[in-house]
Amino acid sequence: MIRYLRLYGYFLQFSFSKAFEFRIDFYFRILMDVVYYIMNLLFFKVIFLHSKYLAGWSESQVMIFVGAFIVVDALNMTVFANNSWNVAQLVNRGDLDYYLVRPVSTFFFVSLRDFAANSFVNLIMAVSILVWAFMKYPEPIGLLRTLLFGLLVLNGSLLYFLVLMLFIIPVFWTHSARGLQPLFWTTSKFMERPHAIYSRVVRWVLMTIMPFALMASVPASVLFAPNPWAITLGSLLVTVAFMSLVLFIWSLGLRNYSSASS
Amino acid sequence: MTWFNAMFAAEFKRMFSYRVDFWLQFFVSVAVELMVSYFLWEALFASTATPGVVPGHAPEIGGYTFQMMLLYVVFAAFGGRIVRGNERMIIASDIYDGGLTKYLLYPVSYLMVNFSRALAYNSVTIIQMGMGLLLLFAFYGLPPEYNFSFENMLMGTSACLVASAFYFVMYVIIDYIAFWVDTIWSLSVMFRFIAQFLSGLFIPLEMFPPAVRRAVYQTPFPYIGSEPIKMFLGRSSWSQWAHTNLTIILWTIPLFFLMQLVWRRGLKNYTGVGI
Repeated sequence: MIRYLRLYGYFLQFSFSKAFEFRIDFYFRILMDVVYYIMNLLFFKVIFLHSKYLAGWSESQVMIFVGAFIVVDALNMTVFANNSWNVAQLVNRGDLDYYLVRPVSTFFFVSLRDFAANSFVNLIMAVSILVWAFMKYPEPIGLLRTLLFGLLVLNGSLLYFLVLMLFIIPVFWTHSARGLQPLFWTTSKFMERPHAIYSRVVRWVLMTIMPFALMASVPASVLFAPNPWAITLGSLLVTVAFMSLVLFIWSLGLRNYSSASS
Repeated sequence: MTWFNAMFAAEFKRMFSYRVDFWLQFFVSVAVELMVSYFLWEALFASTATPGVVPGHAPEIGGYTFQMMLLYVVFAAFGGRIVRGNERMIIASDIYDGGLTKYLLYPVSYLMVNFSRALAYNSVTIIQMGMGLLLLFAFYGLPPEYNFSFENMLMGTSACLVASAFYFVMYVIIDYIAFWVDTIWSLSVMFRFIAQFLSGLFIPLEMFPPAVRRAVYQTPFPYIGSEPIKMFLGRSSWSQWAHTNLTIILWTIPLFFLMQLVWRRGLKNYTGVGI
């Protein structure tokens, strides 16, 4: 475990020095995410000009949801995005060889090697927006619920990455340029709205088979729901199931991998 | 124009080379977009809606009944695709990997090569829109307050095509920035967010506060989204069609010259990686 933490420390050092080499991209990416955050906030601000509630959620509750969604997105952009986007290229070009010969878990190496330092700045902004949304919430939120919320946001971020990987790993067989990533980007739009708006069947699908609701919306609901423990336990179980599934399919993919260069 | 036809055909062929992927991506993306919007508007209309202007009529938000709002979403999904075109950052890739060099040696304009690609993409998108609308109307029918007419379709589609020329020029300018900057991906994504929001492709501009709406109408964006959609919905006249297209053309002309300027300056900076 210590070895993996130390290795991750080196990844961080390398990523920060790399980010500062491409300074303009550093600022562009920060700007892009800021625009994305503003657009999301404005979207719901406009919606709430015409209604006091959206599927039973008040504006302040939805703002916490938006904050959670933004933090999950920022966490992903910071920790996982650069890595997951590269997987298809690694497999198709045979560059995965470099990772396979390392004396550490290939999945760990491939998933966490590149830390997006520029998005880290956005993560700070995203957390600030979430704190602002919390402060604007009219009723007191208990410490326990806040901690569960924090845990579920982190869990949602991991789940987001795992589901994305499920769409990317087929590249071992299809050898397409990006795997099924475009389909993931399309379906992930379900995550951008509170799950309360969906019908019961769709909501069930979004909490189990395609758990986009568990990434931001359900974590936000843990602050207001009558039974936060059931939600927390359910969310964690789904993540464990998805983690097992991804690792299993990843190992199948590795068995199917033939280095392009050899 | 043989080369133009050839490029057009090549792009057409490229798009259909992964047929399953192509159609799956199209249908899934449209289906998800419409589903998410359907549930959002259903929830919003259920939460609150002002009574109709005429007593006894269906409740409205921003001047749209629930049925008309869904139709707005449908036309925003299809019209938006025509306007946005392929958004593949091909030019930036050509600059980064040196692929531009071969086009510089060809006796055709690089811009026209890309324009023919964009036109091919738009042709397929229009075919997709026709099929999508046919399927949706066949399964769900039309709202009683909507009068379908081919005239409206013609107005909307032509306005979308004119708008796509504006969007193409904007996108090419952003792509040309690749002559100076290592990656322009974030810049183009940022432009797409802003354009989609301010053009009313996410929410009808009628839902914005009046002062904000007036400010947004000082930009070209409403004319590439909201206005063409209104044409599809039968809420525009031919004079409004002319005004929309003229406004977009007036925005496009100076941007076109800016694009040419950026191209000339950028070429001086081009190193032709891989030569």
